[in-house]
Amino acid sequence: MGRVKYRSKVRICADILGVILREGEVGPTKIMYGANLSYDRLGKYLNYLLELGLIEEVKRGDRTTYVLTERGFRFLEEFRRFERFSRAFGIEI
Amino acid sequence: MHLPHVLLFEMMMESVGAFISFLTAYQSLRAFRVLGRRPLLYLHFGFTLLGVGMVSRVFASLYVVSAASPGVVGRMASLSSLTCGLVRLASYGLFAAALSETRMRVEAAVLLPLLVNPYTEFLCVAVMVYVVARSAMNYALTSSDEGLLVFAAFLLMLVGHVFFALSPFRPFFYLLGHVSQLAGFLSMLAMLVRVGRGVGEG
Repeated sequence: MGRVKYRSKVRICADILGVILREGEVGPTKIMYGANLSYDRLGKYLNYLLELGLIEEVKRGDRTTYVLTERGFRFLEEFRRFERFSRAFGIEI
Repeated sequence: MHLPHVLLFEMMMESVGAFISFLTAYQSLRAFRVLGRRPLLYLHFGFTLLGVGMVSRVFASLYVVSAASPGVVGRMASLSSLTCGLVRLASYGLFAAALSETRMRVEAAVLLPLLVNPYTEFLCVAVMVYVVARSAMNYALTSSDEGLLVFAAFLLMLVGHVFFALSPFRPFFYLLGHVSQLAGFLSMLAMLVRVGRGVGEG
């Protein structure tokens, strides 16, 4: 049986930002499936990312969607660069 | 080879190596700040220590070049060789800690050089064999170009130490040792450039 892979907080944030970047503007359900998170945990992470200014909330009637901010895009770019650096040494995130 | 020429050659090689070491240390620290993984901090301290060792060797060589007395030259050169060997060994211990990701206590890796005898090149070879094996396993698992460059860098550093250890038998090995180490640092630099540019990013 394979070992369960632990995902760090920063890894989960990057996964969420990656889904938003891929989709452009996206609702919570799609993020939940894309980032493989439960609804409760997703809510906590979305609030955290909103506080950091990495994503923005867009209200359209009763529907809420999320978009990536410039800061979020830069963070994701940095994250991917350093992820490649770490993997070159065999350090998993 | 005339003595000052040997030292000038060494100063040049060590300066290039120190520059790449500090660059890698800086990238490791930035990566640690973003990703928060402790092995990246070990890498940072390892490369910083390696760079400091190389810079101190450059200054020791400068002192030797300027010193008039042959007795001072001999004592200073052997002291600098021993100190830098121990510093290198400590930095390789940190690389081993970073790459193993086991619960190995990093304090032990740093203190190790204080407890061992001066045959540092052989000890460096022993530690580097482990580091090279870990980086080879990482490359086998990831098949990434960056992983290959890191493996090549550590392998060339290891080969460099083997040449240094053999240099008392044939002075030519000393030259080969430096060339090999320089090639290793250039491989590390190539990895940094690739990561910086995001080459092959999916």
